[in-house]
Amino acid sequence: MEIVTVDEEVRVGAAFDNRKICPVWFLWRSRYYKVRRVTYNWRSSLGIEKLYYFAVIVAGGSSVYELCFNSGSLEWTLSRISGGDE
Amino acid sequence: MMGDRTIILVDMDAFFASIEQQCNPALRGKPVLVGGSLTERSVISAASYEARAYGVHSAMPVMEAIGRCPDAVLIHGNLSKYTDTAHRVFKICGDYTDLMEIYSIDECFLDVTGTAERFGGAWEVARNIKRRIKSELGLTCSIGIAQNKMLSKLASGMGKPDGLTEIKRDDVEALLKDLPVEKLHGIGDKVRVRLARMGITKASELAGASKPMLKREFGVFGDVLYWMGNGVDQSPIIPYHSEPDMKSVGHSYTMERNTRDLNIVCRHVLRLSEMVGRRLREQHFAGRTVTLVVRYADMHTFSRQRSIPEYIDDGYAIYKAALSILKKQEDDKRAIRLVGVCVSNLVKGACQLDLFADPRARSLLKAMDAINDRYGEFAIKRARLVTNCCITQSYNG
Repeated sequence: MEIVTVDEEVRVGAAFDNRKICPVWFLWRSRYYKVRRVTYNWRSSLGIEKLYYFAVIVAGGSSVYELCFNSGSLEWTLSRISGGDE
Repeated sequence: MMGDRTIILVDMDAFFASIEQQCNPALRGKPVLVGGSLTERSVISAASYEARAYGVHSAMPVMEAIGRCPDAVLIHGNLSKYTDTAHRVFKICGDYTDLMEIYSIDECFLDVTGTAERFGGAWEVARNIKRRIKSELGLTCSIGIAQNKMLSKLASGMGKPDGLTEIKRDDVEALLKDLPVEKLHGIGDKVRVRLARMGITKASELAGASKPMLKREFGVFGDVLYWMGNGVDQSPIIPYHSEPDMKSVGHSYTMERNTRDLNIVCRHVLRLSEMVGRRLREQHFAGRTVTLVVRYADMHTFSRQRSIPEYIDDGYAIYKAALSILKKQEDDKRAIRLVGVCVSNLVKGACQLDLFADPRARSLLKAMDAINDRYGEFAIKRARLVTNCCITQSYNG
């Protein structure tokens, strides 16, 4: 299974619901991806900055995109992509 | 003596591998290995149950694991993902008692003697924990319920994966009758072999053995073994908030390739020393004894200590002490496989640091700590640690 490290800034539309963040779509390299499902999430930190990670599957695919939200800089990053079934 | 207790052990099933299968649905039902890269040195941290069917287990070299299970998907571990998940598991468990002992990243003991009734009994507590871990994290765990830690550990292993087993008091004797001694937590291979030489292979034989004979053979542990054979374990739950102060702080690093280059070795020793110093200062400790461990390519391990007059918590001071030990080994030309640095003889809180030390060095250390707290470990570091090659691989400790 191929795992590609990306680490590129992305634009993300997210819902903040019940004190939880949920990415709904993201734009990467001018392409729009609609999030079908968040399969897992976890937190980490870099110094005092809190990082919120989301493993998501997008509509029409089975690859897993790892999105990261930095609550200090308010930046979203696409960290890496893991191959799915396709 | 402990009265009647009710102890629950929560043990996550194939923890790291299950998290990866949860993250990526395409991995579910497939053999998954979590470990380092495909090199001679790397070992498996976790194997999914599908991989275990091929005889793969944790701590097995990655090369051997892939040899046994060529279709396995090898995932490079992500420790922050696993520690965050572990915190969430422990938070769920902590809702049922404050007497929780975190035994490892994927296991905890709960003493629910005084709280279980509020939740409908120990069995209901265990069911609730399993249900919440499944619904909130998508993961399964195996739970054992018994009167002590040893038996709850035994029970949790009886229904893996996704099991829930209770060993009732009246069933203990029958259960131990034919149970091989190595199934008892705390009896490893060496003890098993020594017991076998004494004609003891089952727990019930251990229970019937002469206590003085066991003490002669095993010393104080002989007493423990006798009671283990009888299903008795008096060890208390040590809650995470009252764990005793640490005795030492250490880190080690296995080189990607064996090396004879002392410059490379020294750089790793410096980095390890800085990591040890940082942990000491975070916990408000300082120590007086520095230990350097060097393992050569032939697996011969050299370990020496050096005690110094003043207490230190500065990575560079630790490095200088470690280096003075390493210098004495300069004549040994064997390639080095692993280095480790440890500081012991610790005191907590205010201690007599070196009166004649340069106060500017202390200020510099504080400034570096503040920057690393703000921006992450090694955001600022000694120039010696800035290299063209990446040496940010995981260090153990």
